[in-house]
Parts: sequence; structure tokens; C-alpha cells
Amino acid sequence: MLPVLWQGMVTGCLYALGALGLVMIFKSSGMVNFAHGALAGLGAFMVYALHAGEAQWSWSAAVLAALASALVIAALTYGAIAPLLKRSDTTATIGTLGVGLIAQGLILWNFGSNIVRLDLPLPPFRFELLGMNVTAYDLAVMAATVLVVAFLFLLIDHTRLGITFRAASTDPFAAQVCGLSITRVHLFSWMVSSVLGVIAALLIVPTTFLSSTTVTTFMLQAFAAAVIGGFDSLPGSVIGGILVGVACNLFSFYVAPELLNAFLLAFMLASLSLFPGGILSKRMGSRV
Amino acid sequence: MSNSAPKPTKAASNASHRNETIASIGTVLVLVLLPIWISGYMRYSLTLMLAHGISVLSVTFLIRFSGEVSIGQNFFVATGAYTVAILNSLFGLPILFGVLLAVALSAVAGLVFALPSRGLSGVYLSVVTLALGLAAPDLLLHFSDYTGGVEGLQLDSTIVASWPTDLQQYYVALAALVLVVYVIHRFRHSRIGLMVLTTREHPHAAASFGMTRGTARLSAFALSAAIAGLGGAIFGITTSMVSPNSFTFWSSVTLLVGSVVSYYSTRIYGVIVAGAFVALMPQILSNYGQITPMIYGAVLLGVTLLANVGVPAAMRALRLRSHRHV
Amino acid sequence: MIEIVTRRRVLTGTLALSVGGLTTWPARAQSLPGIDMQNKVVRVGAFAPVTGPVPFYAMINHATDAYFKDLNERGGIKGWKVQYTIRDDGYDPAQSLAATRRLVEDDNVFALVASNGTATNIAIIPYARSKGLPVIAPSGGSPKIIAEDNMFPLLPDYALSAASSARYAIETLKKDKIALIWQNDELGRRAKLGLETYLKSRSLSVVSDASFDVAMTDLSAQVQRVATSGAQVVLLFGANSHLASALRAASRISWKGEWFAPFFVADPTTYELTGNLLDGTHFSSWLLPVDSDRPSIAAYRVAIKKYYPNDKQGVFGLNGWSAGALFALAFEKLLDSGKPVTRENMIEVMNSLRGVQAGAANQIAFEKGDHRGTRSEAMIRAEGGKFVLVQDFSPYPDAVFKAAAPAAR
Repeated sequence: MLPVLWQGMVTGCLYALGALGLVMIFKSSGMVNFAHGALAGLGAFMVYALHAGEAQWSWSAAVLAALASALVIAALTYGAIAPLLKRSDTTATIGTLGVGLIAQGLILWNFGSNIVRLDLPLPPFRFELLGMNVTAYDLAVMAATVLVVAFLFLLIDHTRLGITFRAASTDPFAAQVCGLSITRVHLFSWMVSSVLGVIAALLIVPTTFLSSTTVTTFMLQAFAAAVIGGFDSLPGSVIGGILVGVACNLFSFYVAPELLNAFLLAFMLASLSLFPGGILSKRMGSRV
Repeated sequence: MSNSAPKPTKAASNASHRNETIASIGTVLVLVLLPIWISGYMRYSLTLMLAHGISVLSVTFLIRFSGEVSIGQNFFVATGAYTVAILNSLFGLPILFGVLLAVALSAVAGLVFALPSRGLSGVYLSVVTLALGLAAPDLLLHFSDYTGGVEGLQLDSTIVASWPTDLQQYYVALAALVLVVYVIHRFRHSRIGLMVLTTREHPHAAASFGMTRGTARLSAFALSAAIAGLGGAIFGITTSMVSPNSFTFWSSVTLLVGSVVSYYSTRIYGVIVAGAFVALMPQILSNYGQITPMIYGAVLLGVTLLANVGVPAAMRALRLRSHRHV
Repeated sequence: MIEIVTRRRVLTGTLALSVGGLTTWPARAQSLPGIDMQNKVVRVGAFAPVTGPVPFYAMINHATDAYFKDLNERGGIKGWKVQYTIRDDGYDPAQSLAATRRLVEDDNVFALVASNGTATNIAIIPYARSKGLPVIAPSGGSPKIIAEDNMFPLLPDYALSAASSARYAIETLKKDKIALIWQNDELGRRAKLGLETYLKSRSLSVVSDASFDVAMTDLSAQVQRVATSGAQVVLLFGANSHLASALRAASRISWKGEWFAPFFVADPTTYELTGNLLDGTHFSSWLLPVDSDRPSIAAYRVAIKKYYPNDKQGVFGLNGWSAGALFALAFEKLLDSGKPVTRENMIEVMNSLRGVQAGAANQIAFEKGDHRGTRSEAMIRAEGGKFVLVQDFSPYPDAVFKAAAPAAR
């Protein structure tokens, strides 16, 4: 039981990282970025192309280049989606579906349909603890999650941009009245989200391998994590992620791995009926 | 939202209404006569277009009447398709009877889904429909004793023995599409339909008429699922087979793209555009192979931007130029 | 009033014009479908998943195309050139049917060669039957395909491969605690049936089995199940990404065992995914390894580099290459016989093939009522980045071969 739980926690951290990116955008603009997985996959492919391809850059250089490109792509995507956002969140969400398909097409066009391997440059280190096998990869995932979450909270609680973000997500109208630039907040959240996405993708790919669809498929479970934890709550993403990771792994091991998606559906419906809006949702009830 | 458009006169709105009716009737007439000139592979493609048009309509209907986007409609399309297929291949029941049952079962499935999710809206509901869409192929593969697993099931699409089968498939699909468009049209103007629509914008006003949010949501989902089920049943009849690969989550996304491309139209000519996009685009794009998702995405984004930003901006510019202020 | 009438006119006018445009539908009434006797051209085609979930399967058809291009360069089949058309079906059986109709009615093909997929090929059975269309070497392994009079698959029933693998494990590796990790579709189910049937014939049973969906990429749960069951041997029936994930999961929990995988995983791309974790894995294969020195396989390596340089050389390519070779060999036999070049006669020729070599395939035979083209498999082992033949072609275990025989029609 313990190894299953441990593996679930590790996978859960990955879902949490994916969910954080989604929640950032939702908090600031009230829309869902369905292109998150595909754009993250694009970033991972860039690392692959620069590091494992002919260029043979060092892993860190490749990652930095990919992150820089991710920032640019995020700005471009926001530029395309912003006019739709003025109309409605739903329309903007549909627009992101289009962006996601374009990103997937770009991957197919440049890298074809092959499945490739992209590992983290980790030492082959493992030890046993209470019957669980703990590898360097597991530790890397945990460490990355803790660092990212810590960094995010520092960013949001203690920087000017972070405070602006919090203001805009709590009450956009009031924030605008106070002279804060909503566009800058949106851009900030999109850029942070894209960085989170690429980091998550790089951590996911060692287990799922990299192809035009693997990251997107993985991110679909991150959506579940965000929904269960509360789409407007960053700590909720972390909790939701770990819950989804552990529950899915338990289900896969003890019941039927091929019915995972049906299980996820039931789990989400059950969780949402107990905690409408997510476990750590701040907005409950409606305004009259 | 600024509104500097002048209110249309009654005569003008009547005229535009008449134009739409004429266009609709014209489209139906053309569709009825088309098989005289079109045969073989083209006829099959057109029948597919009609079938997909019905499925797209289920997405459009849900968006128009409940404001919610569902990317899990493939679940209900599959319900309809497999009901007809199972009844026909395992129990030997005639196709048309299967279609009726398919619609009924899909409506029930829609209700079953809508019940626990009726409190959800927006992104929460969309993600849950996403899970629904992903679960569909899993379930179809799991109950392979009934569904035939990955190979699926085959159906006998002939209703009248003496007529050519592909002609029958075409007219059955056409009849179904025209029926659905007509039903939606009547629903839109019926009391219940108006109340469901009102719930979207003014929930409290609607509640005072006895239509609660929950009821509106359930009705919208049940009807949308029924339409999807009909689309699936017709699809199964057209292809004479069903298999899980035709009902994945991505097919839901394609339906949504079709819906957007037709600008959420519930008129028959709009639905034909949507159906044509969903059915014929892959065949046109088959020569371009790997850039298909890019084209789909670009079209989706492009049409959305055009419809929501481009066209209103152009209208504003036109109005300013013709000096028609309120 | 005038405005409306004008608009109505325009509407009907446009519709009439477009309908008129579509009426130029050529009624092709050729006495010899797919054959151009004057220019000595035979047209063949296939549907392939160029888009969709498994685009790398289309490498099969690339190789078939390369075969025909190469063949045409060297003079064709007794002066006859082969024209090969590939149509995308997105791995969706409904699209495969549409693509087949298009190939037959639009592109006027004589036969299908290397049509891609299992469910997709099954979908076209009624249509192909109604047209008497020969389907040569469809790459789908199902008894339904084998049972068709006009379909001639090279791909074996996976039940037979699973049985061969188990036989090797028991007789050569001396290990009889066998577990199965299988893909939740026809491929996996046939493997399960074959394994169970074979083990039963030796009074053994499967120690543990776990299934997975083809879209899954993380098989740690399945491997954990198998590891706790006491198995010594694992048969994994799925794609190379599945094997790679399973091998990594096993290494993560430090579980060691003998691994067997289907023939199409014995491919250099698998090494890219697994690294040297693949060493020691066995594959029961109806195709010789890609680095074999058989002339036809050497020709494949040259041709694929020329015509499809982006495609990796491997088992998918060999599969398609062998399909092309099978068609060429049968068509030549048909030409030699002097009979009219019709679909019926092609089917007759196919049914007369006995013990032929086609591309990387061995001992191919088809007879009326039993279209199981492949009757034997060899054992390949992955070693140090290469695939080595460790046991030559041996006929399938009798018990399973008889049990899996196509039902009398």
C-alpha cells in the first residue's frame, strides 16, 4: 500500500504543478486556458530539439531558451485571446482550444509524430525506505514542487506585481479604479503560467515520454486537480493535485487501470457535490 | 456594452425573417434533390455531413439555451450510435425502432449527467464534461461483450429492401436533420423554450415564472443529449458500423469547432455549414496530413476572433460611415 | 418585394450553379478496374493513419510506397508500373470506409495493399466484399480479417505469437511462471487467448494479468501488480512506449524478469525510449530483423533512405516493404498465367501461393479457407542496441494453431 501511496504523491505533485498554471490564469482573467498542455509540450520539445538534437546544447541552456520562448509565446497567445476576453470568458476559453490545436500542429509539423525520450539529468540514485523505492526522480519532483510553490507564494505575497495580481483577482473593477493595469496583470499571470507549464512538462516527460499528445493528455488530469481543489485557489491546486494523484493510483492498482477516466469523472462529481467550487474555494454561494 | 444600432422596424424584421425562411426552404429543397446528380462516394460524404450536422446542433443548442460549453458530447453521440448498433446487431431490431430508443436513452443519459452537475457552471462544468468525454471510449472498450470492443459493431442499414441502401441512408439522415431543426425552432418559440432562454440572462425573473435554474439546466442538457444521440444513431446508420475511435474526446472538440464556425446557428443552412466543416474538412485536409490540427486551430481561433471582434468592429465602422446614429 | 425576389433568384441561381458543377460526375465504366492496359499501369492504394493517435503507423505505407517506387525504377513488374495512393483515415474506421470508397470509386484502384489498422480493416469488410476487392497484406491481426475470402493478411493472429513466446520461455528459458500485460483491444485480447490456450495445453495457467488502454503511457500500476504475483516471465502486448514505460517501472522497483514483446516492438526506436533496459527482451517475429543481410531487406534500407529519409528504419517499414513485395510477386504470377488481369483472378493467384518469401517475411502461404499467410515465427533478442536472431523460424505450436483456425464458412 505504501509504495502505491508514494507513487501517487509523486504523480500528484506533477498534477499540482500543472494545475497551478491553470489556476493562475483563471484567477486573473476568469477563463480556462485549454492550450496549457499543448504549449507546455511545445516547450518540452524545444528542450529536446536543442539538447538531444543536432545543436547539443547543455540541458540548462536548452531549458532557459525554452522558458524564454515560452514567455514570448505566452505574450503572443494573450495578445490573440485578449480581445475575446473583453467579450466573454466562454468565448476566450473556446479561443484557447484553437491555440492548443495550433500548438499541437506546430509540434507535429516540426517534430513529426514520433515518441521520444527526454530525461532529467539526474544521477541514478535510489534508496529504500519502509518498503518504498525512492529514486532521484521522485525527490526531484518533490523538491521542484516545493520550490515552485514557495517561489509563487513569495512572488504573490511580497512583490508589487504579486499584490497587483491579488487585487485584480479579488475585484478587477476596484483594481482598475485604483489605477492598476489589468492588462499587465493578465500578461503577468499568463507568463508565469507558461513557465509553470514548461517546468511541469519537463518533470512529467520522463515517465510518459514526449510526443505531440502526451503532455496534453497528462494535463487533462491537472484540470481535474484544479477543479477538485478549487479553480480559484492556488493552495487548492496543490491539495487537489495530490488528492487526484493518490486516488488515481490507488484505483489503478486495486481496481481497474483502464477505467481511470470514468473514475476521474465520478471522483470529480462526488467531490464537487460535497465541496461545490472546490475544496478550498473562496467563493461560495451567490450574490443576490 | 455600447449599442448604437438603430432599432429595426417591424417591416424590416419581418422581411429578414422571411428571407431566412426562404433560405431554409431553399436549402432543404436542394438537399432533397441532390442525390439525383450525386452518387457513390460523394453521396456518402454528404450523408456524413448531415449526420455530423445533427451532432454539432447538440453543442450549439446547449450553448444557445444554457450558455454552457460541453466538450463531452461525444458521450451522448456514442450512446445513440451504440444503442442502434447493439439493438440491430445483437438483437436484430429494425433500424428506425433503434433510432427512437437511441434518442430516448440519450436523453436519459443527459439527465443522469445533468443531475449531479446541475449546480456547476462555467469552467467547473466544462472540465466535468471533459472527463465525461474522456470516459466514453474507456467505457465502450470495457463493456466489449456488448460493444464489440475496439472493432466495434456492424449494422444493417437497409430499411426497404428494394431501394439502394445509400439512398435510404441519405434520406433518413436528411429527414432527421430537418426534424431536429424544426423541433428546435418550435422549442425556441414555445413557452418552455422562452423560459429556458430567460433563465440564462435573468434567472430570477424566470424563477418567478416557475422555471428554476435546476429545471432549465436539466431540460437543456436532456434535449441536447437527445439531439446528440440522434446524431450518433444517424452516424451509425450512415457508416454501417460503430467503433470507439469515432467517439473520442477529440471528436467533441471537432463538434465545438463546427459549432463555432457556424456561429452557433440553429438554422438549417448554418447547420449544413457546420456539418460540412466537420465531415468534409478532414477529407480535404487529408493531403496535408500533419498540419491538420494547425489548420483546425487556426480556423477555430480565426472564426472566433472574426465573429466576436472583427464583425462587430466592421459593423461599427460601416454604421459610422453611413451616419446612422440613434 | 423586388429586393426579396432578386435575393431568391440569386440564391436559387447560386445553388443551381453549384449543383451543376457537381453533376460533372464521371461515370467510370471500366471493364478492368484499376488496370490501364495501354500504358501498363496497375493502380493500388491504402488508407493510413497519417493523422490521429498513431501517426507513426503510417510508416508502413511509406515503405510500401518506397517499394513500388523502387520497383518502378528497376523496370516494374514485367514492364508494368505500379501507382500507389495513400489516403488518410485518422485511424477512425468510419473514415477508413470513406477513404476506401474514394480509392475504389474516385482513384479506381485494382486492390488495396497494406491497408492500415485492425478495426479499420474490419470496417471495410462488407464494402470490400461487395466489390470483390482484393486486400493484400492488410496490417491488422484479427480472425475476422483472416476469414475473409478477399483479404490476405501477412500479419499473424497475435494469439499465435503469444503462444510461440510462451513456448520459448518454457522450453528454452526453462521458466514457466508467466504473466501478461495486455493492451485493451483486439491485439491484447488475442494475445491473452493464445497464451491461455497454450498454457492450458501444458497444464499451466497465467500467473497474473493486467490490461491497459492504448492511450496510457504510464504502466507502473500494471507492473506493480505483476511484480507482486511471483512471475518470472512477462509477456507485454502493446506498443514500444508501453514496453518502455513497463521496463522503467520494473527497474524503479528493482524487479527482474524475462520480457517478451510483439514483433513490431523489435525496432531501433524502442532502444531510443528504453536505453539499455531493453537488452535481453525477446520478440517472436514473423519478420527477419532489420539489420539482416537478406537482399530484399538490404534493398529496403537503401530505398527508404532515398524516398522517406525522415522515417526511421525498423519493423514498421519492413512490414510495409514485405506487403509491397507480396503484391508484386502475386501480380507477376498473374501476368505470367496469361489470364485476364481481373480482381477475381488476382484472388485466385493469391490462393495458390505456397511457401514464398516476400520482403522480410518467410514461408508465406495462402489457401482457400485459410488465409493465415504467416505460419511460423522466429525468436529475436535485443542485445547491445541490435536485434539478433536466436531461434530460426519454427511453425506455431500445434494446439493453438488448430484452435485459432478460421471457422468454416
